[in-house]
Amino acid sequence: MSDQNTGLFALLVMLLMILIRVPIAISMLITGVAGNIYLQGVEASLVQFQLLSWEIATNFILIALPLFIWMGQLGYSSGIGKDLYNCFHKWFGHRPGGLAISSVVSTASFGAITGSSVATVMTMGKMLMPEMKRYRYASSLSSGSLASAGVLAILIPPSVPLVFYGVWTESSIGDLFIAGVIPGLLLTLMFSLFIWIYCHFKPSLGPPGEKYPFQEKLASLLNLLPALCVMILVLGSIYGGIATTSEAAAVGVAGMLLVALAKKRLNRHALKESISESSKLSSNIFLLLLGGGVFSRFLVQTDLTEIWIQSISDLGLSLYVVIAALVLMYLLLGAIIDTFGMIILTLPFVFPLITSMGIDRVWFGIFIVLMIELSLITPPIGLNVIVMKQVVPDVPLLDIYKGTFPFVLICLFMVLLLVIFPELALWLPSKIH
Amino acid sequence: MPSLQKNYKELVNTLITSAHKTNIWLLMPSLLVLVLSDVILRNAFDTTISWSHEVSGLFLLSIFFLDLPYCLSKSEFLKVDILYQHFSTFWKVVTKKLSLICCFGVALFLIWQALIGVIDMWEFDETALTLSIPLWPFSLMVAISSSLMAMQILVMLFEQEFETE
Repeated sequence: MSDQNTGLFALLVMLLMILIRVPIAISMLITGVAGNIYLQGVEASLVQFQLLSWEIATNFILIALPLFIWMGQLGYSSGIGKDLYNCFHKWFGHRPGGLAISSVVSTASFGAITGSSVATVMTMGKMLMPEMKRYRYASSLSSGSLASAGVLAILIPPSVPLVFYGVWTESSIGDLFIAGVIPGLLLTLMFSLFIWIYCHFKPSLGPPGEKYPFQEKLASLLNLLPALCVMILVLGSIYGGIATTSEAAAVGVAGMLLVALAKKRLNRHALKESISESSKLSSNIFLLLLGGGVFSRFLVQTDLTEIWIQSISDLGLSLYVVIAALVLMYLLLGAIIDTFGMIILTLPFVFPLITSMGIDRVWFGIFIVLMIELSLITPPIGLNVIVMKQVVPDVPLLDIYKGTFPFVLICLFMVLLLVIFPELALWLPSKIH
Repeated sequence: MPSLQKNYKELVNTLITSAHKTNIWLLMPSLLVLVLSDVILRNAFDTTISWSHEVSGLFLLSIFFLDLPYCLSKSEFLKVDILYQHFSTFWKVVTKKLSLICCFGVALFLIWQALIGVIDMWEFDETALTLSIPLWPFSLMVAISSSLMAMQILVMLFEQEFETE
């Protein structure tokens, strides 16, 4: 069998294994290792595997992964979500749709701290859905806006998927973080603007809430200061040249520990859970990176990646057509695979292609995260929607999907903006340099 | 026989939980303290711990590998359910066993390569570059974690009741 045919065969076997529910990382490891042994023999494959696993597992940049997850878990258990909501509700709650706008902004901010969409939707959903019910908000608007706002968690830094992408593609994680800021803030603004306009024309969907005196608004803002300081410290230390991304993650954990202790919201159980979750998730992600690494090295041996790039180049497709095809592919993949699976399965093929076409790797990182965001709120799986359904079992799933639909369109519009104006992602990193 | 199986299962569970607890109470806090100390020393006292990057990397290696058996026991590995949810109970059992056998194969491969690593590192007296600590214990730790993974897979393979997930 030729090398290319071996590569194709291994690819098919891997996909088959994934479809019959063999863990993605294990499927990639088995086919990658078996393929490498077939092409290079046992000894060379063993040495390659040893070097690769050691290289990935001791990579200093990867330290950011468990530490950022830990920081997020601490933010989650220290009740910062409630403080955020209290603040934004007092500032925006009296406007039409104000409660939903407060929910979007506080969910996006909370998500930025935790870096996890699911944890964000679960926490904020449990807290905010009864409030919106109390103010007689339409269930599709309230549940849809909350499920959609959860997706902003992975775009606004620090973001775990961006760390994952950065490690895999050897891109600067600092650049990726800062590149996500403008699209993330713009999306938050667009989500809020949509709710405001929608409720302005149909006030019954989101009636205005009560107004609060200025002193109370100010006090709620002051309550947020400690968490805000931690975020400024994390991002400031990266861009101020004080710490690397991994070190900034350690600074963030220490800061969040202090905030949780000062607010008397940290007990032994919460601390244990936060470390346990971060250790578990990091180990899981490591296995994916290892599987992806082994499989992509095997693909390089077969020349399949080169042939794939050549075939696409021969088609003479324009950049926009390729991006449109990628949008479609990620939308379809998002229906069956989750965040990290989508990244690890597609990058061995897509990344060489986009770099050969001259697309900026930082820009592509933001693009891929946006596509993952979309997959979290689109049917049939839409993880955030399913989590929201658990929070509000009395609201039909279809209603939640109806509620997320306008936000899906807004996200797609954001993708379009990003394609037309790549500076939206690339301007800030260039200024930092 | 059932009591032997039960004892084996309990032993594996205890070992896996201990490895996970080592991560929680020892390795993760140590990693945090080490990285943080380096930042503070560098920025406040203009000095640095020369071996901090390398040792942090070794901590990270330990964290990743020690938690693999725990992730497996909690079914945390990322899977795709799209076809599986439409399978009959029989096919669910078959695919679950097949998936476990694949995991077992990977665990064996990990043990094999880690043991070869231990022998090589021992023979050539390999140490970290910045600190004179031998590397073979870390490779041994990879072999032990992978063995725990293999032991856990055996528990799952021969479990009497099959839970329909």
